[in-house]
Amino acid sequence: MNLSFAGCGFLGLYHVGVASCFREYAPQVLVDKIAGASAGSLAACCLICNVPLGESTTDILKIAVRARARALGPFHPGFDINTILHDGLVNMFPEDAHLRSNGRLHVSVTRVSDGENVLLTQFDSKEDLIQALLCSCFIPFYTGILPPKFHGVAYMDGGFSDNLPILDENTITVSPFSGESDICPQDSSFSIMQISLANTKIAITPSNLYRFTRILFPPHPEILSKMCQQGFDDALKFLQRHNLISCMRCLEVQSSFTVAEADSSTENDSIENEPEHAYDGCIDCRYRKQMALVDSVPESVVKAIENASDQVNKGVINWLFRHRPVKLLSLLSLPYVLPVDIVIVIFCKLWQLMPTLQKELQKNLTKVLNTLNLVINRLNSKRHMYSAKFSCQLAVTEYDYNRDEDTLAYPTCQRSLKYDEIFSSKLVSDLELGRVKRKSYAGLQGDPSPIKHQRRRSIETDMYIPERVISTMNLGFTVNLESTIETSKNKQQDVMDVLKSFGRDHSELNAIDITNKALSWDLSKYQGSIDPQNADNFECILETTSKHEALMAFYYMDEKMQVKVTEIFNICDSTDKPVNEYDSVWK
Amino acid sequence: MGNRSKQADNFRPASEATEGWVVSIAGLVVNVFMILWKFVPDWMMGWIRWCPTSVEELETSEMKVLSFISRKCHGQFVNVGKLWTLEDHRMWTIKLNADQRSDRLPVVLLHGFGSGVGLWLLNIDSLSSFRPVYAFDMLGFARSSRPTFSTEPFEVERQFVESIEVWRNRVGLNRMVLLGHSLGGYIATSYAMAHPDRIAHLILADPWGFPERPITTSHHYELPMWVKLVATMLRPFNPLAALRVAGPWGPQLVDKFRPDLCQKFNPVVQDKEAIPSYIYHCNAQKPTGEEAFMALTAHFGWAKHPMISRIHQLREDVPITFIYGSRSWVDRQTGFQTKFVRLNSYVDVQVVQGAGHHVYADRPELFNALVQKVCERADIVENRSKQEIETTSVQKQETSVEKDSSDSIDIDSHFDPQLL
Repeated sequence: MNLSFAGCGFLGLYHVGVASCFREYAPQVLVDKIAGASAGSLAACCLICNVPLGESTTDILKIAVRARARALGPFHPGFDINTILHDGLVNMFPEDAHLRSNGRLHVSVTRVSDGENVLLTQFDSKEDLIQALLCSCFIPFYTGILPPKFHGVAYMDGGFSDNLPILDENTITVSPFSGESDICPQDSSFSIMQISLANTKIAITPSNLYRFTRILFPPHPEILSKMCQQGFDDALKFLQRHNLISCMRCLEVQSSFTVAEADSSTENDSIENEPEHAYDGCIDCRYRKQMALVDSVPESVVKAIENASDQVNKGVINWLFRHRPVKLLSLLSLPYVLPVDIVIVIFCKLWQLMPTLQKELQKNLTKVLNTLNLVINRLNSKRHMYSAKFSCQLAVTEYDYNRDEDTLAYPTCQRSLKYDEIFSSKLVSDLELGRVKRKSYAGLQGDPSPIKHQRRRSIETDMYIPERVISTMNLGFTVNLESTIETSKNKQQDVMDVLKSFGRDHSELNAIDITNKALSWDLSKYQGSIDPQNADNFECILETTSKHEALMAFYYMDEKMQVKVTEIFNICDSTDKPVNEYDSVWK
Repeated sequence: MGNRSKQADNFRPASEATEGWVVSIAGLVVNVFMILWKFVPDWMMGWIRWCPTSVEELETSEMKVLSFISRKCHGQFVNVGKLWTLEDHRMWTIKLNADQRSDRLPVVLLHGFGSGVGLWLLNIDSLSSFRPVYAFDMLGFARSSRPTFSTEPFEVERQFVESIEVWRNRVGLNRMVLLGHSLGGYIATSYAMAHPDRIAHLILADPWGFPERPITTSHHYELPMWVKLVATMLRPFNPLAALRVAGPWGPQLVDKFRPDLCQKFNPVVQDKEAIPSYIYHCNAQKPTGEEAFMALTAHFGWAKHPMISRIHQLREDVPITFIYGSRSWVDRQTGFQTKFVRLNSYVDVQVVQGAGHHVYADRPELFNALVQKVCERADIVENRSKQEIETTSVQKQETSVEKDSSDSIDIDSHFDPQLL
């Protein structure tokens, strides 16, 4: 036989009465599953864990008294039922509570996400079990705002979906509301009207109306004690009616019997005319049954209730507050007292939270710093951390050794190559060939204007001296690599990548080709111009080469495995000769 | 002081006269309104009604419910005449297995408060496999006509009994097993007292109105003032007034507050809307049955004249079987008390485990088996008594037969085939 306790808030004392009766007279009923919702789940767990009922009564009454203490009752900010409940349960339950409850205790809860009913039966630890019970007792805006979580899922009071879980046909239902339950108070009114709220059938009677208002607002401990007594009486009535009261000896025999015959017996006596007791002959049983009629709630529970009512009734303050005018006064003073109370509560809560808050703050601070760091890094990456410029310059100046300048009518050409599409930086190749004194200029540059300007100047300085300079070729390029790099993270690698891709780029090659072409074209012109006439000049060249240090020298091997040497001399500053460059090929 | 009273005395006739005026004018207005109301065409009623209900909707919802009965079910209106009013009234009746003449006693089912024949859905099938089954809507409930009942409890009882007696006459039943649930149980008992010859066996399923209201309240605690106040204020209202006040939200109210009723029928009724809408339409119409019930009650559901104090008036040869649900709020002690009151007659009390007030729907198999057993017993007793009568006194038998035949002729003469 299974038991099921309805959720009922502070009317839970009724369950205490029922539980004490069962423990006293029908412990054989308690070996099976026990289910419950809300306060019913607490009662169920207490029964399973064999918690002394006096203790649990004291706890419930303590909460009730505290809920009544303030002017706003349970809604007063100083009343934190969750904490009280949690602490009470931790103290009350034995360490192995979860092991005892596993599979036997059924806690009815409502899943917050979809409002479906869930029966929790597996608990990993004592704390886990308590969490499940707290879930089942969570009434939004009454016990708190955020629903507690069990195994990561948010649940609330089982009373919202199934207030009286029925496990199977042989479930004894216990409800403190008069209605259609196995154990429930019989009201003196005899209402034909009934409603069914979350599986709990409740008759519409004045008493039930009163009980309803007392679910969340506990009545005076004396009334609670009467409810407890009523629970005991109703349970006793049920046990008497179903002949479940036996003496200890018979119980032992019966328990060994029922294991074997459980299935057959339960089905047969579903229609029963006040079932016959299996051990009617036993005098002890009859005696016990008779004695039960005059019995009442056990001593420990009574004592707990007495203590609670003493707490409320005795003392000058309590005496004062029992009078109506004082009650009225306390209500009237509410607007002045309440803000102070709220402030105190907030401070208390903060004080309690201090250690955890500190940790939390620290954690958060480091977190904030980390994110800040990250953000700054991000920003920095957008700025140029360094400028990667790759520049190369080659200046070639060409002389006309014949005075006769008319023979050399070089076409003026200018080539510029723009590689905006390739690099986001501007990559300009300029090839300038002078008019009379041909200037050849090729450049690749990131920011063309200042550099160009500079270069122009340098060219200008070069230009005023020579008369026989045919052309000045200044080859140079600058590659600004940064803009391609800015988006990437690993800069070093990217610089390398860009450099590598440099050669591969065919238009880039074009630029070099063009320069080469220009050079070779120049060279051929030059050779064509000097070869016939300039025999005497050779001496001069020889002289300069032997006298001066070469400004620049190329040694290279061509296709025919001949080493070629090209030397460039600067002779303008030492001698007045206008020769600037000498190029020779050694075979 | 004296002066003042004198003045008051002087004024009284005048104020009474004005009061009389007001009352008569109000009455006139109401009358005119009622007459106008009658001229409102049917199609317009749909526009101005507050409760979304009508006779047709009740009919269709009942059809839907009854469609889940596998056996052929014959429904008809039985005209029960004018009774205590000025108009003809008719009672909606369904019969099963009533065509062939069997020697078995028919079972007549009397529904409870606020329901109708549709709620016997889980029982009529199995009950009708052996014997004829009749079920009807009581006057003032469900599809039967809704005359205004008296406000005097005994008179209300008499009116109900009279209507049932006429109905029995018209349908042509001689003796029957009468099964009443809740309020039906109370009425059935009342009927059995008035017409014990017609009852072969009285089955009372969770009957209402048996226990007496305890004089000394066995209350563990005194109710506070405001609760009493609220209770007193609610007392004059009909029990299901909220359903009609809610108007368009009424059907939802049934769904919300009586999901258990619908759950009971779930295994058979696939359409989840069927039962709630049937219950709603049964109760959303003119609540004369409820008014009659209110007349019978005092103090939230207690009978003004509880049956337990009158059960000795029932003739000793009428056997009674009480069937209680173990979880029901109905106090089954009165069943056992009846046993002691009627020591010389057959009284049996059965408790169906796990069932609530609606025993017949909570555990239909058990309930049907029980009723079947009781009916079989009634059959046997009936046959035995017939044989006894045959063997003992021939003369008496002859006279009784004559009486019977005259009765049956009477039925035929009253019987109007057009109405059936």
